[in-house]
Amino acid sequence: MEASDEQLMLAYQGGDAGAFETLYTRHRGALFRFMLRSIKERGTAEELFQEVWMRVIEARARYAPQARFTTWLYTIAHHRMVDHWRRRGLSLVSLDEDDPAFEPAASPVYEPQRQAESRQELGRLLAALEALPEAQREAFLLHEEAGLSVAEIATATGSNEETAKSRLRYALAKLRAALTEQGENVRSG
Amino acid sequence: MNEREDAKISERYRALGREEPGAALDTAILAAARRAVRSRPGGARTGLRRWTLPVSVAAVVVLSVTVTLQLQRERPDAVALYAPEPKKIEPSVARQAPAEQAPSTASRLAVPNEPSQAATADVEPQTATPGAGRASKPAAAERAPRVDEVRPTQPPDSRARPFAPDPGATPAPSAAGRIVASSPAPAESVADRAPAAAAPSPSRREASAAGARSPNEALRRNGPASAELRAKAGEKEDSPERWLERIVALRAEGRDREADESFAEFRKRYPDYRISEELLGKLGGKR
Repeated sequence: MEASDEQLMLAYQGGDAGAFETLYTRHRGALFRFMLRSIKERGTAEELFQEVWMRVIEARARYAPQARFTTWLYTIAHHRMVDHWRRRGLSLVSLDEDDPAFEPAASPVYEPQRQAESRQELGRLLAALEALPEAQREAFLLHEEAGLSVAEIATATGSNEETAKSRLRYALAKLRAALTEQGENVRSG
Repeated sequence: MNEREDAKISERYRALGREEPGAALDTAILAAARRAVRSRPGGARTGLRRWTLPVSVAAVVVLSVTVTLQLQRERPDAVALYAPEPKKIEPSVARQAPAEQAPSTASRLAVPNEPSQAATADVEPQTATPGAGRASKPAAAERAPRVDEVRPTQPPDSRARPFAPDPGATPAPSAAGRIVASSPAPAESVADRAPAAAAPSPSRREASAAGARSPNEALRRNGPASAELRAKAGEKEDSPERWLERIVALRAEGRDREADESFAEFRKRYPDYRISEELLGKLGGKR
């Protein structure tokens, strides 16, 4: 039976470097994609990704398994993202509301992947994802990449469940509209 | 319907791609994790840091206690040195009489000196502690000139009064009486106890000691003293004010010759002492 994330983190806290390696391997892809699709710049995403793991390493002595390791990990990631947006003069809160100018836009970042898939559909999805307000996109990514529940999203982002649920609902609605080409209805609603 | 569509969105989202961090990034993070474990900030270094403060505090406490105890051990010396004990100062005041005057005084004094020896015996053990002798040498040497400096201009205050017995009064074995009678003797005892404090130079010490001893011997030889001699002895040791009062009293009794002699003696003793016109009139002398 595989050790849980919390057990691995405690083992690392006790000096087991191998436990950290296992833990890292489990979460590296999802956390990186969460960063990449939030930030949209690979270099910055890598920088923030490394910072998050460094924080995990530094904070190992204080770690207490009060919640899922994943929630703790993405809470750190959320804080790093907030810092990033602040440095850029952007606010996560100001983009929290539903964006009336919601409009899918083409992205040049993931062009190679889109060529391999249903070009039109994935393009719309990705464009819709990038066009989401930061808070909604974060809620969606936490749900999809980290597998967090609404309550855990609320915990990780420092908001209440209602807000987290609302953000996730809006995000899904917009993405759904982009996929079904019914974005006009979603925007008017 | 929404759930089905949400599942479709998740499916499409996963189809977007599975980007992953670069190998270099993985290596850097894992290496940092291993370094952190090797350095063990929660281990030895933390232990050292944890003990730094308590050890420092303990060292300060031990040092403070040691210094305090050391000071307490030395405090008796300091008390013996600085406490303004009149009995110890009086002998030094007694020494203010020049050594050359002491023999003449002694020749006139005929007071039995047994009580003075007793008084000296009482005083000596208090100041003859080894610590007192050791610690008082430098500081007492500093203090002694100060007392000498005060003498010529500042008339002796109440500390000198016990030296002035009433003419005709017999020496009592009380504390005051002992001090009065022992006035020449403490010069000896102080000189013996603390040579540096009692005598700035060996020659002065010898002269002082000789001057101090001879009155005692003279007193012993002469037996009971007359009132006149005692009065003169009192003049020697009395304050200027009391001395002048005594001269006025002599003048009032009609003993002019004694008054003149006493006043002349006073002038020799206190050449700088200022006397008011009124008092000068009572004394019947010249200013």
